[in-house]
Parts: sequence; C-alpha cells; structure tokens
Amino acid sequence: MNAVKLAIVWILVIVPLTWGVVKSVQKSLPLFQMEKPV
Amino acid sequence: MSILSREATVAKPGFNRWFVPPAAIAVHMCIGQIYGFSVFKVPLSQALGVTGPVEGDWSQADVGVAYIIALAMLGFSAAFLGKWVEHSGPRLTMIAAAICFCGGLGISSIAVSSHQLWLLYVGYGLVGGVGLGLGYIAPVSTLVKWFPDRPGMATGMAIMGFGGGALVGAPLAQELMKHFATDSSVGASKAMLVMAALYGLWMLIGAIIVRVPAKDWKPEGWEPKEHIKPLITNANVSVDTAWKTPQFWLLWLVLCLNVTAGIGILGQASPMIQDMFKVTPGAAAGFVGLLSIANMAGRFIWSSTSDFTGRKGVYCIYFILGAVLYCAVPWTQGTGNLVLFIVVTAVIISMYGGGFATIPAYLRDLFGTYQVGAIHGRLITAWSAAAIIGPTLVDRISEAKKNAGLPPEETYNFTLYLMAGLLLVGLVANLLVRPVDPKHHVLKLDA
Repeated sequence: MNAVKLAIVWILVIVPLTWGVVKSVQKSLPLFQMEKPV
Repeated sequence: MSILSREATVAKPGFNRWFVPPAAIAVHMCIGQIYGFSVFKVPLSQALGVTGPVEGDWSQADVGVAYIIALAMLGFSAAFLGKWVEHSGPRLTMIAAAICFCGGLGISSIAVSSHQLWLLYVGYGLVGGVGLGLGYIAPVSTLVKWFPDRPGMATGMAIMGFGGGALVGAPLAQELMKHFATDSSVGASKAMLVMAALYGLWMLIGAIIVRVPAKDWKPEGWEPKEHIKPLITNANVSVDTAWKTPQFWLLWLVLCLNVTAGIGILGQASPMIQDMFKVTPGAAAGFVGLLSIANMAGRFIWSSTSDFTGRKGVYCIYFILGAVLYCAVPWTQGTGNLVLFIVVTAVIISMYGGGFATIPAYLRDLFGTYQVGAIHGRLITAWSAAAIIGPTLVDRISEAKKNAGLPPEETYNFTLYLMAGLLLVGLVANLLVRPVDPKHHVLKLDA
C-alpha cells in the first residue's frame, strides 16, 4: 500500500515535468530543422 | 497540537523518506512558474486592444516590473522569514506559501480583469513574492535533514523542481490563455485564476505529504562520521551567528557571481543566437527552451555530483570549466557550428542551475542542519543582487558595443569575457572558504 502511495506522489510530479520537457523539445525542433541560416 | 505545527509533521518510525522529495518538488515546481512569467508580457500589454496594444494598455516594461518585485520579495521574505520557517516547520510554511503565491495569482487575475496595474504589482509582486520566498526555503531545509547521507542529491531534487517550473508554467499559461481567449479578451485573467487553483492543489498535496525527521533519526545503516572531510561539520551554527562569519559572505559572493554569469547568457539567449547564427525568432525560442531543460537537469546532476566531489570541488568545476566555456562561445560562432554552440551554452546553463542547487548543501556542510533553512534564506539575497547586476551589466555593455558600431554578432564577446572574469573571482572566493571556527558552534539545540 505504501509503495502504491509512493508511486502516486512521484507520478504527480513527474507527469507535469515530463509534459513541460516534451513541450520544450517540440518548441526547439525548428532549430534543428533549418537547412540554411535564414 | 495543530495539524500544521512542526510537532504534527514529525515522521513516525518506519516512514519512507522518499515521500519527501515529491512534496518538495511539487512546491518548487509551482513557485518556479515565475521563470515562465514572461509569457504573460505580450498578452497583458494588449489586454485592452486584444489583437494589439491600444491607448491605455500597459507596456511590456510595466508588466515586467511585477516580475522584478516578485524576485526582490523572494529575497526579502526568505531572508527575514527564515527563522520563522525553521520554527514553524515545513507544513505551515508550505500552506502559507500556497496562500501567498496562489492568492497573488488570484489578485493578479482581478488586476488584469479590472485593468489595475498597481494591483498586479501588489498581487504577483508583493503577495506572490512572499509565497516564493517561503516556498523556496522550507522544502530545501527539510530535505537536507532527511538525506544527511546525500545532501547534494536532496537539494538538487527540490531545486530541480524550481527550474522545471518554467517548463511547466510557460506552456500551461499559453494553453490556458489560448483556451480562454475571446474576441474581447486575451484570456490572461481566467488563465491566472485556473493556474492559482491548480498550483494551490499541488502545493497543498506537498504540504500534506511533507514530514520532518524525528530528532535523533538517521538513515538505516548510516552513521555520521566524526571527521569525514575538513569542510563537513557535524556541529551546528545559528543563523544569527552564521551570517557574521566570513564563510557566509564568501558563499554569498560565490552564489552571486555564479548567478550573475549565468544570467549573462540566459538573459540574452534569444537575441544572441539570432545575431550569431542568424536563426529565426521561432528557432531562438526553441533554443531558450533547450536552455531551460539544461538549467533543470543541471540542478540535479551537478548537485548530486557534489556528494562525491565535495561542494568546494564542484564549485571549482563550475568556475573553471564555466570560464573556459564562456571564452569558447565566440569561437563556436566563428566555426559556424550551431550544435557546438548549443552544447557549450547548455553546459554553461547547467552549471548555473547547479550553483543554485548545490549552495544549500554547502551551507549544511559548513553550518550544520540546525537553522540551515534560515541561513539559506539570508544567502538568497545574493540571487536578488545578481538578478539586478547581471541584466544591468549585460544590457549596458551590449548597448555600448552596438553604439560603438560593432557588428551584431560581435557585441556579445566582451560581455562573455567579462562573465568569465567574474567566474574567476568566484573561484578565488570559493578557494578561500575554510571550516567555521568551532567557537561559533551551538552547544545546545532548542529545536
């Protein structure tokens, strides 16, 4: 039971942080898709 | 005994200490939203005109003042309320932080809907800023007490949450504003209200979970060694004594210079990459996002590393490697290698984050755990000072160089070399740190 609770509280912080990282990576894609400097 | 009191949060035997890091991260992730405040600048500067600024709209500079007040209040409240935080315990402090920070967002929402700039300053700046200060130091000092065997990793986890706050806060605000935007509103007011509710919930969860260890608790199988390393003490120094020692002021300088140098890159990251590599503004925004990830990751990685290298050792790495990399940035521009430039700047920013995360563990090593939260609170004023010095230096120098007729890609070089110089001054301060004189040690602890 304790292990489940522990997993839940970690998920509560890891999910938003992961979402933030994914959003940031998505935003950075144009940086690597440039063929030539504009 | 109130459920909010320190006594009520003392962990029962068998409590798993790994419940505490997510509680700390939850609070830091919420208050770290301040790093993402800039996403409100454009919408709030056209709150009346909606599609563009009109007469009576606030300027972006006006809006930015709320951010500056909040950062200043973070320093003040952490410095002046640190002792109260130690006395009241983490739960009451986290609740107070949640009320102030989320209340500040709520007041800001009213300020935006009623278009009262002063109310935005009071809400986000003054009230929210107090929440930032309280929320910043309480989880850190609690984690240090739970992880005497790995203090660097412990503080790294909490402060990583603060770095991650921008990664969550900025896109969350953008998504919410997009959702609430109408023909007559930019959606910022409602977005702030929803964010206040969400952050309040997360901070409340953190406050419910958090516990402090019992007085004589120690990790299973771990014994404090009498003489591990000269700079690590098992003794304690009170906050009122600590801030009068040279060690405190040397660490103040160490943090201030490390942060000043980091801001030198972070504050001008977008225009710098546009000028140096001629990338589009959209790609430059992506670069800033990558630096935010490096900032967050560096907090955990470098601070955890300090458990093995020692705090003094890891700061030597920040300052020496940092100075070398700052000097290498103009060279990367010369090579035209964008990926190399990104890697170099990301490592620099990871050490900027690492500096924030390692400092509470350094304080714990030198002054013990007794009032480490309060001491950390006073040291945070170095951050506030750097937040003023860094951007002022960078802006003034860049402006002067542009006025002198230098090509845009070369206007940053002098600033970068100057930042490398500042890091070398920080290195000297770090090398001067010695163990605290035993005459300052507290003999009998009252908490």
